[in-house]
Amino acid sequence: MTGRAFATPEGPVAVQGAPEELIEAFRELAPDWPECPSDGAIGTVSVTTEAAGLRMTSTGYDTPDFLFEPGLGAGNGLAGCLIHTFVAASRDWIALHAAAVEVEGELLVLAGDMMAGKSTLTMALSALGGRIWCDDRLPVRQTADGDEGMALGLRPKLRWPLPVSTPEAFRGHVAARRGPEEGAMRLIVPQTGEQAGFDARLPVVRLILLDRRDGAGAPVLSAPPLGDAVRRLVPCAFAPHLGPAGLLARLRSLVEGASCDLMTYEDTFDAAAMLTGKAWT
Amino acid sequence: MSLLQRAPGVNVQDMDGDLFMVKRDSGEIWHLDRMAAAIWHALEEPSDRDDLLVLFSEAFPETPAATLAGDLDRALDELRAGGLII
Repeated sequence: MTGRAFATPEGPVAVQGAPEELIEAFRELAPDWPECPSDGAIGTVSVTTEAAGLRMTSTGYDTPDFLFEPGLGAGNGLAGCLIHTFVAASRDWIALHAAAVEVEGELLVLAGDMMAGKSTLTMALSALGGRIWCDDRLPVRQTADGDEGMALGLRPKLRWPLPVSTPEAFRGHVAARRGPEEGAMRLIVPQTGEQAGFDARLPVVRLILLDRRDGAGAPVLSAPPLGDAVRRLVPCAFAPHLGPAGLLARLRSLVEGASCDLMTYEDTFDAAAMLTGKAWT
Repeated sequence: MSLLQRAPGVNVQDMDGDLFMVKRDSGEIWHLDRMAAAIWHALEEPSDRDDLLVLFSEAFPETPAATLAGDLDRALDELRAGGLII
């Protein structure tokens, strides 16, 4: 068991009761998230080991506990608890269930549910020259100049095996960055310069709402009405500290402060090609 | 026929015509589709189902009555299930 603390923009978050195997799994995912003294901790993530897995609770927010099987999934769960704890410590922050990739200096935020293929889209954009920000969770801070997304340096994950339709160029790209794997989850280890480091920030200038559907055909971008955009973002947002009315106001501000598109698509690789203006070769 | 009315304890946010309802007790967020939003607006004063059907029939004369009635009943069921009207 270990008592540790990890640095966040709002102050240290303590972690108590974490078995060493959990910290090792977390480090596979988050190799650069700095540890720090726990003095002045803004919250504590408590881990208890049960027969069914690792239960994690946080003093930072009041939502149901999470139970994880030991391994990379639990490491990912700890990262989520750390993010949620510091986000809930300040009204400036929310967390989006979203991917984010820097393309030609602009941060594209890609929000969608689990079936949208955010991780594959993240890696596809990376293979076409984008810089990885995150593939699953993006802390977003409201500043006087607008919203900014924060990178945590978390390694992206891919579900394995890749679809039959995967371009060979993409297969080669991920094969050269193969990281630890567990079940159907495979971590990707980006090469130098391919991923933004811990605490890098960029303004959220482009928000893309992912609507992946069988039979949708070639990817199409359209401008959603404000209400539709906010409706789609509500299930992607974590902000229990704002309350429901505050969350709606915050998401409205996010949508109005960025160029917001709805992307309807069927094939993730076609979508990445359209967003970057590059073809798979 | 019993009167339908807006449930108490519901806050409304209008985003360019899209209505979001926030239930104060549970914190649940509901987004209303067009029909449900129209019903909500119509229930500024309590009304019954048949009066609502007449109102919508006048507003959408090109829509077949059976279609309109089906859409109205479906939306009323959803609003009731969500506790947004009583």
